[in-house]
Amino acid sequence: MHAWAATQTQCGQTRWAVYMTADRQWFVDIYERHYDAVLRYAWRRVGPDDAADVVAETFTIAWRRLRDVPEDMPLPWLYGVARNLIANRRRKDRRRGVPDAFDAGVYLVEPDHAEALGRRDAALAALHDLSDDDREIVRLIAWEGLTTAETAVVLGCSAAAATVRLHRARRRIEKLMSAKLEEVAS
Amino acid sequence: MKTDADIVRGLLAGHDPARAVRADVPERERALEAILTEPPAVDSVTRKRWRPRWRTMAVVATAAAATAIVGLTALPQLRTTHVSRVTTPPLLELKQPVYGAAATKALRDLAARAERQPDTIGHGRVVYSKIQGWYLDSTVSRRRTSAVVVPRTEEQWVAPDGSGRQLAGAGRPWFPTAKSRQEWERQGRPPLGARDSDDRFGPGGLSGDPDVDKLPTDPAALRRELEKSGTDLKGAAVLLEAEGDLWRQPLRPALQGALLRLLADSGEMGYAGPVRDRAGRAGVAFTLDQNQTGLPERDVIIFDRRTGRALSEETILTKDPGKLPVRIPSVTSYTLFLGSGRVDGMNERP
Repeated sequence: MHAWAATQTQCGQTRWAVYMTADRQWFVDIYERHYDAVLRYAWRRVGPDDAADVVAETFTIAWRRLRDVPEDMPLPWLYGVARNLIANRRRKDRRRGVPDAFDAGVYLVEPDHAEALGRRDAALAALHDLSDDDREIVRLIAWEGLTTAETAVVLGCSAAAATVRLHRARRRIEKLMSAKLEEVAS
Repeated sequence: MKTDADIVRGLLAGHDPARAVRADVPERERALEAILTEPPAVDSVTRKRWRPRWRTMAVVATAAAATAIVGLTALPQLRTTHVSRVTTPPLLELKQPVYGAAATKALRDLAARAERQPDTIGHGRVVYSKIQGWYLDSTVSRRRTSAVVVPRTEEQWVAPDGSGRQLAGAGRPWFPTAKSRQEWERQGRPPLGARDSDDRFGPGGLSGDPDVDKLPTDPAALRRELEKSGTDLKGAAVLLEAEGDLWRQPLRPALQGALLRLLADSGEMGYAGPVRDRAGRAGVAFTLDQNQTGLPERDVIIFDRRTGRALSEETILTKDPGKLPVRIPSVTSYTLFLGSGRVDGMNERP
């Protein structure tokens, strides 16, 4: 018997039982709807070997803290949890001297044209050279497809701060990419 | 004009290494089963049991349906609702633009006036600017949209080392109907926009914008500098994009004139004549129709006809909304440039 069901039996109230069922169903809906998105989020940051573990930990936390999951924006909240989990893992790895070795670029399919290949290499190199904070906001917008309002939820900052951080990160990645493209051209 | 989000997406589009990643379904199901063997936090259940989620959802769904049919009637539905379309700012009353020699001449005349202005920017070490704007991308979340337009006002102070301060808050809301405004007033004008914020940034935190004092004022050299953006925009679109980052800053007359001359020389701009911007200021409007950002859009920039200073810029979707929850035509963003200058401290204004 599930632990939550035992609690339900001890309480013995209809309202309680209805609530528990609705809550559980709501969680399962979120899980099924957003599992792939959270998996891709983790995959981009830790690679294929550890991504599924990060997702499982993320949803375990969501289940334990169901009260905190926003009804209107569960996905950015889940990204925020995954982000913290990954940051904790990295801290532990660094303490143990494990290098941060995952390079997402090796999994990309080679483009057909030299120009496209040049742009792709320049984009990835520019992304690599950004600070951690800039890289995160840029990926959230470009690859997770979030709006700036949703990005603020993930980063735990005000919408105003997210807007200005995005603007600055955008300027920096443009500058880096322009320099990388010039390098390729010369 | 592209938003920062559009540009970032454009730079990295097609380079997502996880594009094709999908769940291993048996693994996903096993993980779910393992998670559900635990109870949700008791604290969570205790707090929510008198307001079950299914009930909240039913209320929201009913309210959304009512809103869609009869318009806005109550505040909880004003700020964020599940209506199918976002309420966007009203369109400016613009004349049909004229192109070619007339537009080029109007921009060159404006450039000449800008170059004749006295330099009143000052020489403080801190760059101050104030804008007010509304941006669709900041308004829409994945599932909720806004039914009232609440612009954001932002003041910014940036020191030479990139440290600085940003003071932001909600501007005056715009309601699509008189009834919705009356309801808001009846309820005591509760706040609708994002909360006020006062963020401080350390060295480098606000760096990134070009140093306007180092930009060349020779049009050809300036064009080369502005085109170094790494975006794949072409022609006047790349100029508008790059200049969009400059208009909020205090610009000296020679640079102001050079920026206008570049737009004139592009030959792509339309001239839409006198207009008042959203702050009620008299200006002249110029347009650029383009679809380099993925959807057909019209960029509108309004200049003060006496000084050549940029008063505002905005983007209008003209033909196809794509996946955006808006009608056609719709304003998708606007920025009012409300003031700028050089000051000596993070609390000073020009």
